[in-house]
Amino acid sequence: MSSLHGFTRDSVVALSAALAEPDWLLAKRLEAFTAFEQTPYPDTRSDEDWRRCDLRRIDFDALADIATPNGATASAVTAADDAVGTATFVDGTLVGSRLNAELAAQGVVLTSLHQALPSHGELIRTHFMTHCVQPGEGKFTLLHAAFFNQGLFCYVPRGVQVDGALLAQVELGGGSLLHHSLIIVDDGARLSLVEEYRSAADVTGLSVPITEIIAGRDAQVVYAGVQEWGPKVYEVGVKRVLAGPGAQVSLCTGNLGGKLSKEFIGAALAGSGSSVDLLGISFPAAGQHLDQTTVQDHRVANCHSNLRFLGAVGDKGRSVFRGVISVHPEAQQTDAYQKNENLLLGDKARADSMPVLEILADDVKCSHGASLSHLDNEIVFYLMSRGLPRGEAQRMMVAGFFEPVIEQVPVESVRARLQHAVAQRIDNLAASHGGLL
Amino acid sequence: MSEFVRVATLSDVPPGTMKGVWVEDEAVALYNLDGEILATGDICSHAHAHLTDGTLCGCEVECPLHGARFDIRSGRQLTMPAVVPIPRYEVRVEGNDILVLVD
Amino acid sequence: MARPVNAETDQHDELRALRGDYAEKYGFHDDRVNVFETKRGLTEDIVREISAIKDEPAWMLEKRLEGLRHFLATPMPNWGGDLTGINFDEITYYVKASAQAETAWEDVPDDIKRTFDRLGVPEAERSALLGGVGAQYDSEVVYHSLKAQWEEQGVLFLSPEEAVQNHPDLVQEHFGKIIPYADNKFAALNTAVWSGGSFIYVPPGVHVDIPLQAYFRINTANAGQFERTLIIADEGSFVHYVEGCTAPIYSKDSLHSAVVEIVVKRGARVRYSTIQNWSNNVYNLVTKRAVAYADATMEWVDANLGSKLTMKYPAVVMLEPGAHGEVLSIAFAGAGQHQDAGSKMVHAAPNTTSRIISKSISKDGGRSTYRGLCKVYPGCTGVKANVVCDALLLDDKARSDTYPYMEVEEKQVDIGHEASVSRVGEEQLFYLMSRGLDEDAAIGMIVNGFIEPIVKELPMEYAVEMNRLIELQMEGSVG
Repeated sequence: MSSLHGFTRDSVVALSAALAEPDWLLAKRLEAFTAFEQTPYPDTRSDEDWRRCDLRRIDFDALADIATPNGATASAVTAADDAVGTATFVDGTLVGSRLNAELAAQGVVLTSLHQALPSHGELIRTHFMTHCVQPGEGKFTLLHAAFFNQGLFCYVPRGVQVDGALLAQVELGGGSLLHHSLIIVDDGARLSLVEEYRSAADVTGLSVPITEIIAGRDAQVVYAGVQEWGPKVYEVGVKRVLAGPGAQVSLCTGNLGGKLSKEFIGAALAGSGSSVDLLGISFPAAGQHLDQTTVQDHRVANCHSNLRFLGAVGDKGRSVFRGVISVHPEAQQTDAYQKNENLLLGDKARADSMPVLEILADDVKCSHGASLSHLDNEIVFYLMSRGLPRGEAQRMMVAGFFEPVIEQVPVESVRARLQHAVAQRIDNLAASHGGLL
Repeated sequence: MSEFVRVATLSDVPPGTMKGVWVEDEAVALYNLDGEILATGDICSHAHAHLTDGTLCGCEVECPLHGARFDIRSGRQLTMPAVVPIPRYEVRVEGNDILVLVD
Repeated sequence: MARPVNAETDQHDELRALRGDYAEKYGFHDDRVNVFETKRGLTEDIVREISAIKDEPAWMLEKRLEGLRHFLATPMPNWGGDLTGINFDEITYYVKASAQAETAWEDVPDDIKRTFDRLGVPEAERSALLGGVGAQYDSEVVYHSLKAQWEEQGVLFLSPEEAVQNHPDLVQEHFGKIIPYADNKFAALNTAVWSGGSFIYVPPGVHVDIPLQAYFRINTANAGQFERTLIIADEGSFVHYVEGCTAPIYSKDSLHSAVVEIVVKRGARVRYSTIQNWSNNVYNLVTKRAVAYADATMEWVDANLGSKLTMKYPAVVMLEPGAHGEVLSIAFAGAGQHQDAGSKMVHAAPNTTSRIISKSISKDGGRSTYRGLCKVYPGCTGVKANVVCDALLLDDKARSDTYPYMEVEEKQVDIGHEASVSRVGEEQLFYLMSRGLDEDAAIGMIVNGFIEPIVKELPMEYAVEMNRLIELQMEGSVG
């Protein structure tokens, strides 16, 4: 593939030119690049967010081949006949899309950021890395703002109801991919959207994705992002929803692939009466480090948030969950809950769980729970006594553990792929042990 | 992966010094104890820190974070707050190359 | 709530009266001239001087100097509370209040005796409920009494200075082994300048069935207090140590930085109870850690009411199978206070169990933080650990944080954590007020009910004191 080598100023200018960007976007990239150069990579020793995520093993320079439009096509676009619209990205380029004609006629947009610039430039300028995720938040948001590829743009105009779900598929063929997704659901509109990220097993790469979801007044959004990177991909990503007044949002993440993946997943409850569910599953095994940092950021009064993250950890897998419920002084009548459940399945498995409360208002109802345990032998024996083979009983229990989150994913075919991925991991584990117990 | 992997050369680890390397997912610390090359895990068993960022004093390495000490010959913990050992790895020197076995 | 409502209001009136003389009772400053104090600021000379005054052997001086070197080389912690108000150059590191450790109450200087009279120590000591009282006035132990039968049983309850002189083998075996100087900046500081504290040794099989007690005070303005406590409970023994703190109110900030090391050998049980009520200008930065061997039990009962900032996380390191760790913690943060407290449970052996119960209350802009760790090392199967944290917010300026850390490297375990933050329930309040209580009394009653599960674990006279202190804290803003 054609690419630009190195996280350099020249690469920024060349990438912007290749994507035929307007001046304001190049200026935004360059501003971010300047700050990027002045910011060190996060240090495991001094930065609490990174204390359990050792970046030293990553050779960022070696991975700094930034994908540019190159005429590549999707090697394996998965069937998704049950989606009402799809967009497929390969190495940072939109290679195909379709959208139900009725939706298109109502003004719904499902395309790349760059293709949408001529028609929706002002909307993009208003919302792209301005108030949901900001470039200056850290080293990797700066990296992203300087080198982002041709990402997804999805817009649902005021009051428009999207029945069925849209699907975006993102594939990485190697090097660095900085996929951006800007999803804007206007006042009173409704959208379900799933993003799937994947790469072939032999691909070495770096993924620094950011998904911004802007939910307007009384908007209803169901979003699921699932990553099944190959085993040689490193990832640092952000997924965040900015919820307006009365908005109802469900944000679900599936974190399955990659060598090392750290995702910052957040809900900014910025409009009174908004409600956000954060759901997540992760299943690290065989030397994977999957790390999820969540924030339920209650900025205004009368909001509700609910988090449920489920993690199973296989042999030599490492899972880290750090979740914060943050309640600002103005955010009275906050109702927030957080639950992190971990199932330790393999030898040398390690799970860290840090559910955090930071409460600066008093009229609140905030609580959290966390558990770390193993498969309940009694239930396995019960199932075996009802005639199920041991392996089948265990597989059923692990699948059942994840089901409350998987069933929330809006696209049937994606749910099936997730269930399959989980089942495969259980089988691998069982094969290497002769059983999970 | 049960084979020796080339990780450094002798000139990378002069006597009395140590050096951190990666073998796949494992952070490995190499030490030169009076000409003998030794290897242990590089991450302190107490909290996450690279021992090679700390200090080497004879056959003891001290963690930079909370001062836990380990015997580099056995990996055994010598002081609180460490309460479990760090892994010890087999080393082979071939010519000028240092090879480590991490299983 | 055990008490009937009318008794509650009676006590409330009594507390209002008590509050009038709070400053006198807990915040007075005795204009006594100190027999000896070092210059302000910390240098190697000061450390050598402290060691020389105590006539220490060379090995202890060497430990102090190692501590000093590490202290000077270590940056301030960048987490927890705001430590920017500490100026190490403004602190007097050693203050000796009287020439030697006293053995009889009659020999204690009159002005110091007055101080303790006002704190009520002798009364407590005379009480049939109490055992030995090691009273620490500034940096030196001035008063010790120990019931004769324990001495016969071989129980040692001394100042650490006496232990260094008379039991050097025991001290050398354990001092700085559980909390080495390099553990953190403040452990290093304590190692360099420690003075006073307690040394307790309980021989195998001996049960000390009456709590051993010590009161600590900081009296001189800017005098740091760096007591060092070492408790060794030999196999199958039991001891309950109680530590209470009050301090005078001063305009300049004070620093209290203690190190407490406890060894709980096979089958032994140690309970260490603290009621921390430093005045609101004190930085209370304490390292407390116990190691528990096979089938041993370590219990920390930790109540933090006073100080400007407390950072304290009593730890239990379970080194052998069957060890059990327990922490019961109460924190009350009022105006200008930050209580950053919690616990660490380190499971380094199979079949070890632990439990943490934490209750915190914040009001008037006070901030209470629970910060805790539950760690399970590989191979430690059968570990069971449970953490429950509840926080109560009494007004809209208060703040509460919960930072639990769980690190688990073994699959055959059961680890659970729950926490909740809420404010005083309107319904509860409405109900109590409908029964004739005014709002203050009703809130006080709810708070008492909230902390009751922990207060009931304290010796009776401490439970009474604890309830009074909590209600005094409540009075602080309601009135």
